[in-house]
Amino acid sequence: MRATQSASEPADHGPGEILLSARDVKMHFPMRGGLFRTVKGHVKAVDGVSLRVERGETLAVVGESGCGKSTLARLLLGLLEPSAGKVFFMGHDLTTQKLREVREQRRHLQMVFQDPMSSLDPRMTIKNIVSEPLVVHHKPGRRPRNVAVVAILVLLFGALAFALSILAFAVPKVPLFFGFLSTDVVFPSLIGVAFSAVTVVSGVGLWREGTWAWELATIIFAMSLVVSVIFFSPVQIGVTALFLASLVSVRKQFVSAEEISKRVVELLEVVGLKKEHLNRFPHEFSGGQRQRINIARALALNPDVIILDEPTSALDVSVQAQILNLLMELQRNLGLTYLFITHDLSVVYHIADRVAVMYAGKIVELGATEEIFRNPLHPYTKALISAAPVADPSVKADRIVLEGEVPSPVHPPPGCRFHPRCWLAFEPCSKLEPELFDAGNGHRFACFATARDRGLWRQTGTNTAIDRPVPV
Amino acid sequence: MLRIEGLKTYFHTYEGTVKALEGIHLEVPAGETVGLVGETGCGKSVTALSVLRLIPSPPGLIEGGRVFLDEPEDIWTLRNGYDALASERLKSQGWVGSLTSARVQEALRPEIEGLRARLAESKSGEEKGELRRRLQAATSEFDILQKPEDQMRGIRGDKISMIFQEPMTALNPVFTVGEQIAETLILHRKPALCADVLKSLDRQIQARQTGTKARRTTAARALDRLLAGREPATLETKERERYAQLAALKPTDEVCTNCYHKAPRLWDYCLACGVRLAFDPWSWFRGRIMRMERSLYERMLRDPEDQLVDFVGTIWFLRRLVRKRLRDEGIRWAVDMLSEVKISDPERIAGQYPFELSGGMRQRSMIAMMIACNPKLLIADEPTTALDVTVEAQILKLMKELQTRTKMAILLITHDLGIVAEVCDKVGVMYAGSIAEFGTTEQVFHRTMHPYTNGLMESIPRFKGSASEERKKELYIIKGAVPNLLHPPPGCRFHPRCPRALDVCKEVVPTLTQMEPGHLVACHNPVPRVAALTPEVAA
Repeated sequence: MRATQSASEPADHGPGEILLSARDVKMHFPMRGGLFRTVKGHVKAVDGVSLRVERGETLAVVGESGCGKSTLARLLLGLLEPSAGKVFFMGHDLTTQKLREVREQRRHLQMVFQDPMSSLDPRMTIKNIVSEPLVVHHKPGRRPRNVAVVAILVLLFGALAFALSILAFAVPKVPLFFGFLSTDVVFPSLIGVAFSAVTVVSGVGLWREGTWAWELATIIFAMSLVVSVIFFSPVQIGVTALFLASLVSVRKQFVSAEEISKRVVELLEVVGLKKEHLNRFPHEFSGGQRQRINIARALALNPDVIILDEPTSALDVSVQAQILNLLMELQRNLGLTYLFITHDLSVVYHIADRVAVMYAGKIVELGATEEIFRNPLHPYTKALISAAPVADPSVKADRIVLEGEVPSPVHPPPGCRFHPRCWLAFEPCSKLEPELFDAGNGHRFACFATARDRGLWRQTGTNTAIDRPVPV
Repeated sequence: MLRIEGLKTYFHTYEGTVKALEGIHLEVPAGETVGLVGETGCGKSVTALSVLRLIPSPPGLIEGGRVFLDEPEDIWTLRNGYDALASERLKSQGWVGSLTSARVQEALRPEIEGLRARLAESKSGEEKGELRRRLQAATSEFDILQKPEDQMRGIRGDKISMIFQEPMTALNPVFTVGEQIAETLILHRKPALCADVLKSLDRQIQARQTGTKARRTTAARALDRLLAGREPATLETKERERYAQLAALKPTDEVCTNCYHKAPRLWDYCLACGVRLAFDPWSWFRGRIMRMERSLYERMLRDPEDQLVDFVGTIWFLRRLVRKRLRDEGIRWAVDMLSEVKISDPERIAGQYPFELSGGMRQRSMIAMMIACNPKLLIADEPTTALDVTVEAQILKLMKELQTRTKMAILLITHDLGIVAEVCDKVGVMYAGSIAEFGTTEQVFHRTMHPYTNGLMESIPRFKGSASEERKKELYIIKGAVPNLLHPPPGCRFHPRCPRALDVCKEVVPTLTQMEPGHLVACHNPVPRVAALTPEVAA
């Protein structure tokens, strides 16, 4: 691993808490073909990306389509397992965790997709859509210990009683096989089987709250409580009350339907929709409103990080302004952290604290927004900024129009991936892959020509900066 | 080049009438780019489709207005006079609404009849020309909305072409790019293609004739050819020898055309002179076919609707004779077109299917198809919305270059004000089915009059300010949403969202009025905004 991209190095941009980080992540999708579906090559969608997202900041990832922005987003969410490298979220390694644990982390990591219509199920009402994360993630992080102990005891007791009463029912029959059945043994043992089965069900209900077993156990114990009160049997009242209490206390651990709808209304109000919209379907909304619904859904679980994958690309400018304002307001009020994926540079300039520019699966420049826009160091960033149309007819600057297209991710060009389109390219660019050179203030760039001009690199046949020893 | 006057398009749905266009006025001069901006659903695309008469009907119907394409200046001035007369007459009849060609002709019936009569009587060519021009003006001759459908088909793709937003859906997935461009060319440029086909056919026939060395032929044929109608006695000595030689053979014997000795079937070379002599019936057949093709293409060139050619085209095994070479020639032209839109390796691209190309390539080949016939007007409906910024820059540059070379007019429909500022000479801002503001790009961007345009300008994030608080300050928002065009608000359609709305706005529909030369605004309360748009961080 390169020295510059290791996560053990101290953060070089302020002391904020690092929420999300990727360490030399690669995503190579295998391409299969031929008779035996053998691997014919790899689509190198993301090829060695390291970045960090701090709490409360907005990191924008910019680049052309096919450069791996969306794959990176999926990797950071843990939706894809990287071919190499690691993804950390709040100190947890998403790449080695079990699926269940990753799901647990995902409540704090939410995503808003580009196309607001196709990311909403047309058959679900807004209420169902927004409440779905709440329903899916209803389980608390850890089951209360006392409930677990009670559940296990009940289960054990129930199982034992069940086995004993089956024995009591079956065993006496064996020697009396020829025509004799003792009624005084059979009936009590059958009642014993029934009661022990109820006990097992209630144990399951205690262990797996919110299932049919829970419902059944609650009903049975409520009935038996009523019966024991009628017949006034103090011991039975005590036992059934204890069971009911533990069942209800388990139930309390997750959100009730009223609470869910209260939360949904609250969320809709936060994103600027109204209570009337609760029972409508996505097709009844305009593009901007649909994107608001998406945002509300992402906010449902109070996440720390929201990954926004081109949230305004499909919207008109006037609606885009509304959504951007909403996002900024939410960030101010809720202290959210955004990973903003887009190709619109004016939006990036408006919303981002830091920018990462991606090209063909690699980060080519990384730094604070003002730094990047005022002083772009990588030629691709320069071209990108100059190609962005400015809504002012008096600014008719000479645009840098790049020739050619984004290279194929299957066979990326050797060396620097930008060199076939680059006007600064010289001899080492086609041979060596540049590392991220440090220009100070957390501004980094991967370009030999600029690094040479700034005295950061000398042509010695390595891809590392002058003042850093080459790592073995 | 294009002049839209009071265009009105309604969609009659079960829920009611959607008033998609409510009297659009727009001018697109030759060699200029006019931008049409507005939010989704404001009628930009409907305008384009109405001009091409491609509105899906039943629900859609062009209710009124006229669209003039390629109208000469002198006829326009004449028509202005006639229009004034017609509208005066219609007004006196108590009629309100937008003019259509049929209504104008109805109102001007006496004049038109008079002109027709005079035209029939007049003798001198000069007078006839003048009268004809007057008649054209009075009958709105250049209005494409009154053209029959078969003439429209000739206009679409030839005089007006359209680039669509999504090149993948606009291109046919089962034909190669070259074939699709060739199809357009065959439809609109048949004579020119035919001429090229004939040229190449002639060249091939010539090459066959000069390239022949020796073949087999029968003795009888060789004799006929040798004599060529002469008497054997009149032949020269050398020829006489040959004559004797041939006469000694049976008429059905095969001989070599090089030495005129008998050439036995079993040998593939002449036993006498040693020349290779493969009998090639296929090549002979090809020669006959080529001659046949030549005559057919000649007929096609003379008369595009030739009966024989059409008949041959209906028979499946003969269809090749009238299609193949035309198509191949079309693909050859298509390759030229593709290299014109700066596609490297155009031969390969012409043979590829749309799905094999990247987004930029697809849009380029789309443009190649559209400029194949040198259109007078190019309608580009969001040509770069689906593309990346760097590719977008390439496409816009390409369109500008093509325009300077071919002097075509471009109607650029987009919602990106950045693109408008960059490439357009004039801009029309649309809101809910009508033009809110029209003027040169400079006027609309720097001396904005209409509050809607102003709102749009303010709501774009810009490269402005450097401190992060300044950068991140709230964007201006036009409050409310685009109105439902089933029940548009009365008066000015923008008044419920307008920060400068007056009481008048709720009742009276504002008309486009000229605020400064060339700057038209439809607003009761226009306030010029002198904006400082200079960005601090410019590219």
